[in-house]
Amino acid sequence: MTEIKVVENIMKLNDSVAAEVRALLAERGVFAVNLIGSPGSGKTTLLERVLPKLAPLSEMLVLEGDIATTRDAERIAAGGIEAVQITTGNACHIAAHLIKRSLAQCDLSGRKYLLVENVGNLVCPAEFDIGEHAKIVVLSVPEGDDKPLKYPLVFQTSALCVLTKIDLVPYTDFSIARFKQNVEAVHPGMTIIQTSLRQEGGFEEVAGWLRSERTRLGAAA
Amino acid sequence: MHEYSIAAALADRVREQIELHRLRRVSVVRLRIGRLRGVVVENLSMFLGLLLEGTAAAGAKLEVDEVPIRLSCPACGMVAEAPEVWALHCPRCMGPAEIVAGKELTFVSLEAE
Repeated sequence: MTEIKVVENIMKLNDSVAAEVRALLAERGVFAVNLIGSPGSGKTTLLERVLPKLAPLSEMLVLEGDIATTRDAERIAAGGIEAVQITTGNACHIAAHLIKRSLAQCDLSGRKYLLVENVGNLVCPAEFDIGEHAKIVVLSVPEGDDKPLKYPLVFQTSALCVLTKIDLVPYTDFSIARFKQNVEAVHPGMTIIQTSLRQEGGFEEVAGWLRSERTRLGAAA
Repeated sequence: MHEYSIAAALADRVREQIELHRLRRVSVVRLRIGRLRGVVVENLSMFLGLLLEGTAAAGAKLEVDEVPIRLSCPACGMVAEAPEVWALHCPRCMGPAEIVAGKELTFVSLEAE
């Protein structure tokens, strides 16, 4: 028996495809975000509300990741925004090659934003680089204020946290102060934006964050 | 659940090595995995075993060296090990710390002939 030294990143294939996707998007001036959150946390609703405030509809492209159905892509398309459904079969997350394949079917000219809604899951999507420029974690009030401590990786790797359904705070044990403390423990200095569909709040702020990040990262070619 | 994707990528890397060095038998696959990765080694090992059936690495043992999370504080210079995956601030000045280790997902070596 002899020892054979290898020392390489296990995910090098996924990561190299992700780097390829990121380079293609940067070259075309497209800022890409990867939206991660539990099923029912409000990811699709967030896109429905934020996108009309973000940019002219033709400048945005949405990729909807789900295990099955084209429901989410249909919801986005109903708002006049081009949306492509990625069905992962049984996979719990989107991998970089699925983004590369989907983008090959899309016209990127004139696009400034690519929004990828990942499969509803707080665990696995955080592990896979899909070529995005930033990850956004979406958490809803009914899920509980302890989630940053229970699912630290997604909070660590995301640039922004959107807390949805804040109008439900009075009906639950959720404490916004405790939530902020928990986010701070896993990702010091993380930006949190609070939204509510019922009170029509926070969506403009999320759109503003996306615009300023696009400018800051220089994808604005 | 995502251990399957990691196992599939790793099985491809192992097959590459078998071909490259014309290995007849692989007895150990060694990895280094950071605690922040949250990988369940038992699941990874099960999937890898299934994926390597029928290859020179069938039945190979998976050995994982777990890497603790190490923090470095840019403000006060403190270097420390994080006690928990959710305690990533500087334990001395409580400021934001940089993660210098704990995110590894490395295929280190093989024992083979």
